[in-house]
Amino acid sequence: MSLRTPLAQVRGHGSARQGAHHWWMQRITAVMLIPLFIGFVGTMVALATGGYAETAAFIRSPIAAGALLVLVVTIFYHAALGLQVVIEDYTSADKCHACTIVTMRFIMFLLAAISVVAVIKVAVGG
Amino acid sequence: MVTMNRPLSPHIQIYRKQITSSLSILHRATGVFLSLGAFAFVYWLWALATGPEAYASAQAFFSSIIGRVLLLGWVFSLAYHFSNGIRHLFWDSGKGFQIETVYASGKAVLAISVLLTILVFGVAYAMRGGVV
Repeated sequence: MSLRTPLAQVRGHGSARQGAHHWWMQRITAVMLIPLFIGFVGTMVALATGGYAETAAFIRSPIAAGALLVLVVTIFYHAALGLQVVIEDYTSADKCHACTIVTMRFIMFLLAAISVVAVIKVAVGG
Repeated sequence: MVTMNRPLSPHIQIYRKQITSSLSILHRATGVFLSLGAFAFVYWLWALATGPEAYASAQAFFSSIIGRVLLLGWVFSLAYHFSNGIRHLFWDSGKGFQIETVYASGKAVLAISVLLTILVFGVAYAMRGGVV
């Protein structure tokens, strides 16, 4: 007989009326990533021959820098949502799910922040 | 709580492998692998923001054998996750659920992923003027 409330047993283990938002954001970011990745891969292929100067000059264009910023933020949002599902499905619920998810989100947030600062630094010609 | 002795759904050891389940797990596997690729992407952006020397060493890494193998893996993973993601979006809109359609779209996604990978690497190498 556990003295824990039923709420404590389900918290952090699944739907807390947020599942629809998670699902919907996964789809919205997926749709956004379609044109963004077509542009990104096309650019990467075109810049494969180029060195530092050519690549940096390309990102100084506000259109390229803006698209790259949206791309990095969308990538890490989409990745965080996807990795959360993988953690929930394949790791034991006995081990703190929330701990793993918070750690994963922290790493994704950090990578996104580093990317944003890097893109802005190149874009403003730092 | 009466959670013991509940029946389990058919488990992986006895579940017959089929294209639907294999492609589904490949979608997740490529997603996880692409998340690792995000670290390389951030490294590339960091190098670009740091300066020509850092960028040159990043380029040296990505042109090395290990770098190229990883890039091949990431390009294929992206091509697959991208194509299969679009397949998922069709399902989300309620289309393509007939079993023949599911098999056909699965095979199409695999073929498109391989073709896209060859296309990206082919054009990239052609633009380098054939210098490998």
